[in-house]
Amino acid sequence: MIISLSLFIAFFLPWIIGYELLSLILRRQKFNPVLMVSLSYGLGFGFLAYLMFVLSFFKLALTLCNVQAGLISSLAILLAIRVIDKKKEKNEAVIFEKKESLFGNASLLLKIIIALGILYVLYNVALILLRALIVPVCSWDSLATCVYNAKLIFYEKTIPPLKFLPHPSYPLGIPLMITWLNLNLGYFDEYYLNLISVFLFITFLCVFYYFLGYFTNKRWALLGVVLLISSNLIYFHAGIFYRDLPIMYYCCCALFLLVLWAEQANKGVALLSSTLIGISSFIKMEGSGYSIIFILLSAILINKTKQGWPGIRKNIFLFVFPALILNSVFYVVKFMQKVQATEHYDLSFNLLIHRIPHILEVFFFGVFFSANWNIFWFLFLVSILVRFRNKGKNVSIRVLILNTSLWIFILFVWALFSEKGGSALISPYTFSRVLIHYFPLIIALIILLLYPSAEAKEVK
Amino acid sequence: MKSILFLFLLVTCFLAMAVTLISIPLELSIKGTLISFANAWYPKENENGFYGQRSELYPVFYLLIFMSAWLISVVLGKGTKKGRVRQYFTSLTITCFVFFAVISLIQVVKRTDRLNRILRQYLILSDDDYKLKALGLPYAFANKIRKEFPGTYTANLISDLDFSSDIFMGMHRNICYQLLPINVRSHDKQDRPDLLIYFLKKNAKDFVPDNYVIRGRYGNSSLVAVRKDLL
Repeated sequence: MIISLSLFIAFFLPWIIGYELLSLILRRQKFNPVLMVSLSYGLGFGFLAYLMFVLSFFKLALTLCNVQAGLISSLAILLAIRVIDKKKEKNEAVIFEKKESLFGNASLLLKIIIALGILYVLYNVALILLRALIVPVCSWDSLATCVYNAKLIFYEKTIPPLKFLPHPSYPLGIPLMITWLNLNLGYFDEYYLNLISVFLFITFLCVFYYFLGYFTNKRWALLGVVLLISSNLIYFHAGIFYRDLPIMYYCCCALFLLVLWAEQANKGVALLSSTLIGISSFIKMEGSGYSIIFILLSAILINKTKQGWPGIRKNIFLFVFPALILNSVFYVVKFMQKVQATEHYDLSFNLLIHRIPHILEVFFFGVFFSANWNIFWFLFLVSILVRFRNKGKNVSIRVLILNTSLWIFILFVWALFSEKGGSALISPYTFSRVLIHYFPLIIALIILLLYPSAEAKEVK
Repeated sequence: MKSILFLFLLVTCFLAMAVTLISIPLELSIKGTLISFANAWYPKENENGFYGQRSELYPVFYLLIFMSAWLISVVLGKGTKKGRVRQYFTSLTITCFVFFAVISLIQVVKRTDRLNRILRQYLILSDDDYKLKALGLPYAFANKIRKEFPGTYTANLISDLDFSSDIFMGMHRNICYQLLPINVRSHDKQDRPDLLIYFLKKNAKDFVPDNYVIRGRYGNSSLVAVRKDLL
């Protein structure tokens, strides 16, 4: 009973703060309720991690009391702002909403297939949840860095000097989230901490579903969710605590919001997407690199809007400023503590040509000849061949393809020019995990390309 | 919808025929061939996932996909050359979804089976025994020490095993994690640690410095020594 209550508080507090933050960012607008709740989770836990980091930086002990005080104070401020704002608000408009039914006037056979799809998703989520609750921490990265750091911070009640941590340059977002959960329990539990990852995955499925549903319909969105959850590696990572699935959440949500912004420019959406990509840098080092891709893409999209300079300046501020601030926080502290900014980005500009065949081999086998991804990469190629000519001018498809191309290009360049980083990347273990970060884009592109729309939307 | 169902059944029949034919050069029974196919899409899972596990059957799968797509496009009938090419790619898309459905079904069965085995162990064994089975010697060793030395300490871990090698690095990380709050990895190594933990060190007692006292023995080659001023 007490454990249930502790867990409830551990999840509820950050979640409600995330919701208030999201409402503040969106101001007089809101998303569909499920989407609001899903995005609030990531936002709230990201805020929690930064709060704990700041508390520790100012030499405050990371006890339950102090962290709760910080959270409750933040919540009070947000609620106060909401109350003041409410006086000026009239109605909250729901944005990016599409009213349609999943079953609708489908034939009996189609209804059965849809029901099977829903059952498939729910069953796999149940498997993931059960697995998370009965398998203790035993995976390499969890034992060596991620959960290790959390356990250390939990017992020390502070973040030790970064130089004493394994991989000192690695961000502390995930360890701090885990520490928070265990502070609420009063002891370090090996099982319940996986729930953070499981809920992150479930909320991501909701965001993914609504994003696809907006650009296609709910049936195709459900197909997208089914495809995603049938990837073995995604299924596996949903129940353990590595950094890869959380960064997938933040980066993909940020990108989806960017695509929505391209459809219909919205200040709140711009700010939210920038915030999420900024948080990703506190989850894993690659987040900083993905932030650069994100800023580049947003610059291209801002340019396409053909606004006047004041409009461009405002949009640049919205897309760049939060990402930059959130990226900087950990780098500034690393600089102050004389810790290397990164460990794997030793760009030498000596072209390691001899490495190219091995990089291509790892990529080819890792993508096509692996049990990790079902046959989705092959299906992705087929979708491009079949439908790109008809759909290539679609804004959302172009943004996603551009992001995917930049992502793969950056990985290739990193493997080619970095001795240390490249050796790590072209290990099958690391490469598969890096592919998780933007893998949902592959599924999204399959769905968007194959969806039989009436006509392709032109680029603005 | 009905035509898609017909194509689905057609591809499934073709696959059944293909599996029967493939089992001949593989010198396996049909059941054995199906198990090989299933294992290719859900290899043995270890605690770190499925990474790097390749199978020689993947090219066979892709060949089957291409052949199935050709079969469908033949059944759907001919048209102009351009039409046939387009039809082939459409058939390829449908075939991919059929294969996806079959593979997903295999994966659901294997995932359930794997979880079932873990769940049975979880329910039968006590918490300690269950973790011992999952985590092995590092857990057993660290658990004993934590029970005898509750509280927060700094420690050095000394062993004859080369913890920098790939083989033993995992063991080292596991022990250090299980030992927490006894801090082995994340303290200033210049300081005198509170504990010296000897793990699989031959004649360990001969390596204990004068200002430390042996306070725990675990077999012939593992022991814990405590700094004298802490006693």
